Amino acid sequence: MTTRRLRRVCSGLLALLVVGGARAVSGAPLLVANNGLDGPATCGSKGAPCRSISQAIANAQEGDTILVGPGRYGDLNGDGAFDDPGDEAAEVDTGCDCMIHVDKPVTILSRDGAGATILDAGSASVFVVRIDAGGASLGEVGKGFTVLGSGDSSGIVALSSAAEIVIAGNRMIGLAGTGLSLLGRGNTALANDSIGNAGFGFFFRLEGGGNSIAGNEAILNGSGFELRGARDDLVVGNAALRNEVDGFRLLEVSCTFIGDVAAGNLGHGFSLTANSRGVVILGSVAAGNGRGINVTGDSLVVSRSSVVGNYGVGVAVHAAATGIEIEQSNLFGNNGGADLGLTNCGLLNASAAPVLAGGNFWGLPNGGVGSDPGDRPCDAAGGFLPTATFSPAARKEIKVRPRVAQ
Amino acid sequence: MPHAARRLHLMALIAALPFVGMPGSARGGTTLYVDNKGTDGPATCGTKAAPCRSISQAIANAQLDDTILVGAGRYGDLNDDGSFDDPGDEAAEVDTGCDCMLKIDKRVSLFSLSGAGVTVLDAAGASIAVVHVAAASVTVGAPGRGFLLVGSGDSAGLRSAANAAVVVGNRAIDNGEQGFDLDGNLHLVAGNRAIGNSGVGFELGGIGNTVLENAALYNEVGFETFDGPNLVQSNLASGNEIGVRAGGSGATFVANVASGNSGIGWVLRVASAGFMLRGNLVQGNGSQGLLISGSSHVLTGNSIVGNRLSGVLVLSGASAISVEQGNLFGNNDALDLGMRNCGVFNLSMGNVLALENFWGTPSGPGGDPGDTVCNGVFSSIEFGPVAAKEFKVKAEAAR
Repeated sequence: MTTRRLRRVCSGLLALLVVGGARAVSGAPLLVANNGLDGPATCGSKGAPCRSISQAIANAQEGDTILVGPGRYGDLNGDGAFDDPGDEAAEVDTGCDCMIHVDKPVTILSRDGAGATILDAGSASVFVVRIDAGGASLGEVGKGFTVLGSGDSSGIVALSSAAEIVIAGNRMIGLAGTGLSLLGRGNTALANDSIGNAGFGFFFRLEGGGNSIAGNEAILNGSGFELRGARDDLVVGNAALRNEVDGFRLLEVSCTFIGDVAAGNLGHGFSLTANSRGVVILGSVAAGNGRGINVTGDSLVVSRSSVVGNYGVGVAVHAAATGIEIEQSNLFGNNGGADLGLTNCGLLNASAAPVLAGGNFWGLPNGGVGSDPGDRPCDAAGGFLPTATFSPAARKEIKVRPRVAQ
Repeated sequence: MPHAARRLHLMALIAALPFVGMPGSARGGTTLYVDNKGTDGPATCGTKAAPCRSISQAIANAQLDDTILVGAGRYGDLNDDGSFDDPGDEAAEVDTGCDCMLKIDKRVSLFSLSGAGVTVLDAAGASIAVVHVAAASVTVGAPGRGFLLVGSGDSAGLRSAANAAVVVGNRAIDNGEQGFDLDGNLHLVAGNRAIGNSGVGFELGGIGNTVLENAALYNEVGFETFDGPNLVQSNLASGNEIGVRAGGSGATFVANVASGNSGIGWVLRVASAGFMLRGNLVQGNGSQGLLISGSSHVLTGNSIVGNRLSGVLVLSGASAISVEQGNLFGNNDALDLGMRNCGVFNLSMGNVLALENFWGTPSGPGGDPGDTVCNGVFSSIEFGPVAAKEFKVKAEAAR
């Protein structure tokens, strides 16, 4: 890994620590509560909170903070229409196609956290929250929202190229689309959970770089995380567990993974598709997936990571891939591609280019490579790769401690 | 509470319990190792230098009170051929015996080395429980040392028929029935997550169980208890069809959260008796907040806010129900009866005590922006005096 990339990683991590998903609060926040009453330009004070978040946004100025009390926000009486007093000002099949439209750079926080504060679209065909303003925030750690009830769409979306958006501490559950879709640059997605959504848990089209994706969990979604177009972004301490297809799926991406986990996903733990280039995976784990890491792109470095116990090949390098380095990592317990007629392939190189695989631990105590209880580096015909590409092998397991919550 | 602090808090709580084995403080037995780079051998595997490949083999080789440490990776039907008969496969019993993938039939402690996120016990869709605890005082997991339990086709992630199991730090995801199904008594179930299971997230029969800081998300029912008394504290039920369903008698529920469930937040079953609910949040559920049957239930200091139908619905036949010193506002209508803003809706044909609650406005029960009292025939609610401001109820439930 280059010094330049290391420097970028360090500065990115520092920025994450500083941001922490929080923005400064200036002045008294506007208040929203389940015992509030909406009123144009009049509600939002402590003595007269608004009932809907939409009304508070309408009453807010740029840079304001909106503090939302516990309870439920949406179609309050469940009559299928957002037209009763206190209902959110949803636009169904028109306008933003959303229940709550954040069209100003405001910070929206819950007072008591996601477990107590529910944004429920009641199965309407809308995004639950749509953000079209750069600099807006939804939630922070311990001050987010539970987002649910979109009948055919996603939970939280920023569809335009708005920048510097913070989405933190939220939980998106059981949506017909994707949990969180975030586009643009300089955005932060921190400590959100996306669970049981039919689309992706998290979808990022990250253009322009400087984005931070940290501490999120994607569980039991269509796929866990899909990243497109990321440039030098940081993906730190996220977990993708038991998703129906892939854990992390990367298209046209160059970014750095640190301390991430993909486990029990039915497809690939990490899938780097064609046009992915310059991906670094550090200190991460791919365990118990269909395949551990599937590579069709170029310039992948996997270092100090564990690729263990996957049903198929540990790391599968496809024909067109070039510039692949798998180093100082654990590769064992992988079943090895029974679908290809191969066994115990910790690494399978089906490309014409060499794969550098020195310093790995293959499950054998003498630093060797081989079949059970170890893994081996395979070529496409089931033979061994040239010895020079994987020597010397590590003699003992490399300690890998991912940064995810356990 | 930040995650690291929560883990320390949980470890301290669990360590204070006398019957719990923890990694590094084994009960006096030896330690056996299991690893994805191990090889099974009767009575021969399990040392650090020669770990077993399957947990089943390590259990077979273990003595009472031994500790089994399991490395990262996957355990189950290793080559996914639909049978558990290849070297290193777990010794599953399908359609016979325990009907399970991993049977723990000795008093041992089982921990992962690297946590639930990277240690996968996968039944691969077979019609068996992933883990079956068949001996008393078994430990499965610790904070940061649990397992990911997945792939039961029609059964539970973890099932216990014995007493005094300690089940900590595990995640049961996408199983065909319950996430955790514990019959028997005196279990400690703490710091686990049940997500996307087709049945109940946490189902507990028996008495004397402690259910602490677990999360049930996106299951059919989050938590279900029978019998009792049990202590159920600081748990989260969210995104389920029903949050909590409680039967039996004498259970204590403290600082739990039932929120964002698509149906009822919390059900107290017919014939249930003597429950204490204190400091819980029942908020933003898609139907009633609490649906109460049974008798002699005391609800105090709870926040029952923003549910789509009435906050508390007391059903016909319920008796001696008290709802006091809590928040009741933002709840909605009993639509088919033409009533609105029913913080408490009493159909019991008796009296409900609802004293010293905050109804959303300082003046007490009324219309928007507050809640009111709603009565069916021959029913009444005694609500005075009222609280003039909102109670602070801050449940510390799991993430």
